Amino acid sequence: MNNKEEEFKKIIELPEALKKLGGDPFAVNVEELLQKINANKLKDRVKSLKYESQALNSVSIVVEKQEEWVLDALKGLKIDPQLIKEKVKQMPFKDLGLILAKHTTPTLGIKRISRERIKMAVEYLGLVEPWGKKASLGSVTRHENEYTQNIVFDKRFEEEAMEFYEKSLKEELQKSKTVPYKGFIDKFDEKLKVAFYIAYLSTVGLLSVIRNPLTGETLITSPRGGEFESVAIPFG
Amino acid sequence: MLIETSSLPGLKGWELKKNLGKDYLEAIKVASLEADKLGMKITIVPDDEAPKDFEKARFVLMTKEPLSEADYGRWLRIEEIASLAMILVEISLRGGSVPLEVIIRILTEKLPRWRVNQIISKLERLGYIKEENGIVFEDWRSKVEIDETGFIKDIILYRQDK
Repeated sequence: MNNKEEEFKKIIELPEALKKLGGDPFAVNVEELLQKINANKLKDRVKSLKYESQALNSVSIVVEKQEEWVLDALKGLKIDPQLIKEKVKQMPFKDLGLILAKHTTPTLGIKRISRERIKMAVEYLGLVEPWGKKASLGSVTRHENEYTQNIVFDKRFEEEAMEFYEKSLKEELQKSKTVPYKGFIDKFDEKLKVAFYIAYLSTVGLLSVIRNPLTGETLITSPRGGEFESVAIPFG
Repeated sequence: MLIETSSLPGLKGWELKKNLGKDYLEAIKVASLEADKLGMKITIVPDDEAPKDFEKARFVLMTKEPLSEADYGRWLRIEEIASLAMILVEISLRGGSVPLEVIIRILTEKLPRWRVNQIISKLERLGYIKEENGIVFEDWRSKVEIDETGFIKDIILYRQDK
């Protein structure tokens, strides 16, 4: 008898051994046994099938014994498992679901976050993370994929930013070449939104945000490249 | 960790190592502290076959608090949650495993057979239950996400008129 056959034999004799020794049926790992049965294929197909079916039968006996053990334990606590089962059957689906949900701390995945929340998070990151490292002018290449498309780069936002540029910034830049960043932002009630518009307009190459090395002042200018690339600025 | 590939959230240790370098476990420690501030936690789910191997383990981000009612829709549909609840009660009362045919019989008392099949395969795909040779067990996600003791206790204490 080879090793695989011995393994099979051990599994087949398990219920008898449990009965003789009076052991705890939970000492047996049913999952592990099933994996062993699946892995232990014998070369002789007929023999293998015979052993597998006997072993599976033994596993089902062990499962039955585990159930009996739990039922006995619950009866000891004066809780009738049959009553619990009946209760569950009678419970409205919604109540049953609500009880389970109350005891669930779910694994987080992007599908569980609303588009609006993802957009908020990306806008927030856009403000705190350094950007403008790209030396050359022109729009920044976006790595769009199924997640970012229509979620992160909302068409509506782009249109709003362009409209803002045409109405509030283009003429001023043409007139004075440089616009003090802080003074400009302060003119608006929605400062955060305007800051994000400027950040966006800079990434598409319509303007640059630079810092005057002599005065330390941050300025909005016509688009520049090379050493005049845009700088990241803290907001708030 | 948030991107779900093939319906499963989180990343395997080897993926983190590939992206963060060999000290990825140190990065996870720092990320755990940050996640804690945001009401989240990082949980390491060991691989069944290699429970001590971090590279084969799955690293997932979880909320520290249970779901709020508004979030259920983004988790599972109510009949799917209730079906999972019924399956978990059966598994729990039977000591950790239950024949698939029993699950099907119980659920078809409430739902049509085609929907039962759909729900069982969805719960399997999402990692809540697993079926081997006609026997159903809890899978990693039920073990990690659900407080089974509290759940069974609330079932016992449930009164329909409350």
